[in-house]
Amino acid sequence: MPSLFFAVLSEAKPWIQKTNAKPVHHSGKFRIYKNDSIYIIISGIGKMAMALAVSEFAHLLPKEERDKMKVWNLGIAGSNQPNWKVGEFFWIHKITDFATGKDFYPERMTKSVFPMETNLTTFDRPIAKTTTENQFQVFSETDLQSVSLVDMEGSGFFEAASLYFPLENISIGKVISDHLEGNFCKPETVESIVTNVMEPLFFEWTHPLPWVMEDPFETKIWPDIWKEVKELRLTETMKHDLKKSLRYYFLRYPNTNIPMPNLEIVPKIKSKSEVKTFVEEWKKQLHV
Amino acid sequence: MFKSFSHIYIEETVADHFRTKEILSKFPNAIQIPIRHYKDSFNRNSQNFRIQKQSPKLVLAEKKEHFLYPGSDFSPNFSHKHFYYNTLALNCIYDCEYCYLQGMFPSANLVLFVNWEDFFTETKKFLDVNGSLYLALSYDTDLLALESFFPATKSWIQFASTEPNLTLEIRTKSTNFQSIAHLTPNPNIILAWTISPQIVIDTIEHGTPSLQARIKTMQKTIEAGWKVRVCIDPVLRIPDWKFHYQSLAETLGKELNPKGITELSVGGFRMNLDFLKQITDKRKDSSILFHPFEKKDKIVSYSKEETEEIINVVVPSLEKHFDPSQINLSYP
Repeated sequence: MPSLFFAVLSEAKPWIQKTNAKPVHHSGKFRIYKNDSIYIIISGIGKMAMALAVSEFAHLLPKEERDKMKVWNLGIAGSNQPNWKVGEFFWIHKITDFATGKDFYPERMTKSVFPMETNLTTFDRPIAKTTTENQFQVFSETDLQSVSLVDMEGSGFFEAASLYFPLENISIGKVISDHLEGNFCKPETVESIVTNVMEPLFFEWTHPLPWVMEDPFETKIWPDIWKEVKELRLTETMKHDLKKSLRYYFLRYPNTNIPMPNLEIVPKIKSKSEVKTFVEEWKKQLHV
Repeated sequence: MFKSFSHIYIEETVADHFRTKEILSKFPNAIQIPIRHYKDSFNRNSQNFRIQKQSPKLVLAEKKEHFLYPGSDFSPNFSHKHFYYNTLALNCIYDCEYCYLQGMFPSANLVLFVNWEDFFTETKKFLDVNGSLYLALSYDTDLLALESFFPATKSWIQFASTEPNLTLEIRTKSTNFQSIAHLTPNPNIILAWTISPQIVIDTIEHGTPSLQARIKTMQKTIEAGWKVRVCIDPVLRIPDWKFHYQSLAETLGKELNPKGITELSVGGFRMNLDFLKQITDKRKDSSILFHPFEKKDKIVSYSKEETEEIINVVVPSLEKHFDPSQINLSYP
């Protein structure tokens, strides 16, 4: 199941409507929406809020599920590039946290219909190039020389997500909402901008991760065998070694049935030494 | 020969380096990402080597220290007093299932150090102090395979021509000899090819040149007057391994001029235990990695009996065609 993090409701709304996701009732602080196959999470503004939302969400899921989960942050961003238009979408391959100076590198592993990529700088406050009544933090052109897109959540999202999810599963994409003029975007403008890029992104987001493949040994063969021998009460080391030997045979002779010992004697095996002998004899058959 | 790289990470300190620019010119469509230090990207936690191997990225960096490392116990030192290796590049464009790099590096991305002159300076300093050096160049990579965009092999061969006390071993699976064929052969340079039966190449050494292509390249290299070492290493106990390795010895005997071979080096699979654990955690589809290995001093290898059997099968097969003095065990 893929998950998608937004800072504010206006960014998330078109996605919630499209997926018909419903709020999840849980004891946490953040709004989580879910349908049968996706999660949408709204963190609130700022990198701290985003990081906490990622952490809270991650703790709701077992590691096995997180390892297979695509985890994205989408949202609006200001652009320091005058030639880039409002509504254009960029994948992010580098995030700089302005306050700490730390850099993060989301690695692009899959192809997208959106070919453009750039860097993102996450600030603690809204920023602008000129002073306005909104009291944004003002930076000059020189200060922003290496800055391409700006937001307030990217670094928090990536830093937190990389603690709980495989790096390759994490992506950040931003759609340009303004050119740092120092004005807040209206919610309906945000919704419209997000909606315009949603369809192709939805397809990519819901497309399974190409590297998550079923391992028949792990999902079928081992659980079936384990059911048969569970009552032997193997130590963790014995269990690990037996599993490894079974996998060895399975991989080496993929078209042959795995040799099984006489399982009828399993209930009669009581002592530790009998267990050891049983397993060692079985392993000999597997190590041919 | 190699997949193009979609992204190239470039350390800020080498952004203007002439070699960086040369490499970038070979990949005009790659997205360039400035980085402060290659480790910021390369050493991140939670990377998956297997997934990255499907779409490896290039990292251009500056090596600031450790220009020479003492040779590993896993590698033969060929009786040289000062056996060292260097790391001009980290990782390889090939994808061999038995490769220790999968367990050693957190990332499958390919790091290229562009400041070769610093490596030369440090190597010269070592030679001045110690008098001689046996240097393995292509240790944590396959340099010759990168030659078309990272021509380090050529430069090191040229450097070695000015340093008579320097012996170089350049180990490869590549057939890219033509990129250095114009250079004058140097008796202090050993071009070493790792060779496996074709079935191993097809099923385990993913993306590498065929056996025939490697043999042809070796023969060309011999004819051009270079020293050639053949490394049947690692020997893998795949099904019917005896037949496959005996056939390999036959093929080598028939198709290579035995007099041209400086040495044949034979060794069974062995690896650092921690590396193997790292690898098997991510690569669960390779039977050779799940072999019931013997563990000793944090090293996994075939058992003593299995190793003896390998030696007893492979060495006599080679001795039918090559002089016994040419055959060495790389890891007894």
